[in-house]
Amino acid sequence: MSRSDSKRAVPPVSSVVMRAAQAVIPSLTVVLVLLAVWQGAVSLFAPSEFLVPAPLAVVHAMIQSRQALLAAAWMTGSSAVLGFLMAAVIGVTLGSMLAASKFLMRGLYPIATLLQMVPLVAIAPLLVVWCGYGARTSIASAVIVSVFPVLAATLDGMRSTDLGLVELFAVNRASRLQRWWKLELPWAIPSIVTGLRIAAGLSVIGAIVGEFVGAFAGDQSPVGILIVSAIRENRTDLVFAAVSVAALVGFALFGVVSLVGWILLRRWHASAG
Amino acid sequence: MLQRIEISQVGRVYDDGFVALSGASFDIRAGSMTVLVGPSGCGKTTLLRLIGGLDSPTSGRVIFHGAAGALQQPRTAFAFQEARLLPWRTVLANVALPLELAGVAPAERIERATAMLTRVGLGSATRKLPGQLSGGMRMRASIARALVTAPQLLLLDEPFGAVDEISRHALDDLLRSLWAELAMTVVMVTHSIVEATYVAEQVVVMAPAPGRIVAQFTPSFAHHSPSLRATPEFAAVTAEVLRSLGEAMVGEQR
Repeated sequence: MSRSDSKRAVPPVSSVVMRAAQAVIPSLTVVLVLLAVWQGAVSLFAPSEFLVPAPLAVVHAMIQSRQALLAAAWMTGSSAVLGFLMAAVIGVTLGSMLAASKFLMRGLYPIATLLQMVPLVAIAPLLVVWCGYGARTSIASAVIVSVFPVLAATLDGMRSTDLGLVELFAVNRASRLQRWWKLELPWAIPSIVTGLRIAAGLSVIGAIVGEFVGAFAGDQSPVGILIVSAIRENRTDLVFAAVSVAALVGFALFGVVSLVGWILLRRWHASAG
Repeated sequence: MLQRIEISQVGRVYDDGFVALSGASFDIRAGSMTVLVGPSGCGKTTLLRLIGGLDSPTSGRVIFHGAAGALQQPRTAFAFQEARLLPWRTVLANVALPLELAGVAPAERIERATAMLTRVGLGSATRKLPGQLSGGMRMRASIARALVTAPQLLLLDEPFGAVDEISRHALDDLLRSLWAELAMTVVMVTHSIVEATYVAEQVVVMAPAPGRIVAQFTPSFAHHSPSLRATPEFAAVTAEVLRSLGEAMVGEQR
């Protein structure tokens, strides 16, 4: 029972906040240094603004287009979150089914793996055919790209359930459903959280790919359309600004998933220590 | 009502041809404390699993005798070598697990689990998680979980093998007092001849290659207390068990 053998104390919230700050400060410093190098290089070599805008020009574009960027972040974020949530439900359900049945696992897992290999951009136009123009295509795209990591993580987590505990449930005549709900699912949570963290970032990518092919410009446009429009207008600074906003949306979703995972695991699993 | 368990010529051969147990025969009286002792690979755990219905013999039978003939497997509980506690559940929720799986109402299972935890000396640790307990405390919780269903037959597979000597002595005393109090049949597996001699009414000595029974003893001491382990009569019985095991091992090497 590797998960409970060491005597460990529950980490207090304050120490975790302190450790999180200690983890963020170095990466923030690296980002600031890179931005300074980028700004310095642009000032020194003065490339065309169309090719590489200076970070300050990107910040300027962000401020200037903040309304459009905020609306884009909201639209793309909504599609990504909805797609992520659907992928989470589908992934955990399918992963549980595959873990429960060797027949299903042998039959479906290779197919799921194969489908994962199909490039999303290649099937994105089909999504427009099936889902029509608008947010549904972005959501479907987000689901497709993020469901596999959750499925694979759920399957791996459940299949690694401690055999001693499985025997304990058998000795106590637990039903198959009881074993799933009270043993296999909780046991797999650390693995599922890892899968969800990966899916969080992928869902934003999926939503934007869906927007490239299936969204349309209007009073308010999602990130994908904003990027395409900015490219057409030779506004590379706005492209960088939109990409930065998309990255922030992905980072925020990743952060929320990590926080939920930490809350679920902090009392009993080393990964949350 | 269970009167005795008859182990009749029980053998277990695995699919690869390995003979884990051969021709084991002895009786276990209902309400007794029987200990299976012997070195690794002598078939102790195999025999325990066969008695518990976790495995089936390839020859012979395990028969549960009642007053009116053979019975089905009695209400049986296990405690394993490892505590096997769910790390995300509190100690109380772990001990209540068998009742929860059996569909006992929440209030009743909390009451019964709390009472059992108090009985094994963990009354103040109910809200703790397994990761916050020492090895000895985890084994106490494991014993409490096994006993919370009030089993007729308790099977213990080297339950105290991983704890320190002092804790082990305390757990042996706890086991004996629980056995006396709850009037259940206990079958325990151990490597330790001292532990076997101390806790058992009946010691079944086993030897490997193939796993088999080589001797049986019924230690009987006038006064059973922790200081018994330091007495000459205890040392004499322990030496006798050790000698029988040694003779079987020497015979095997020849």
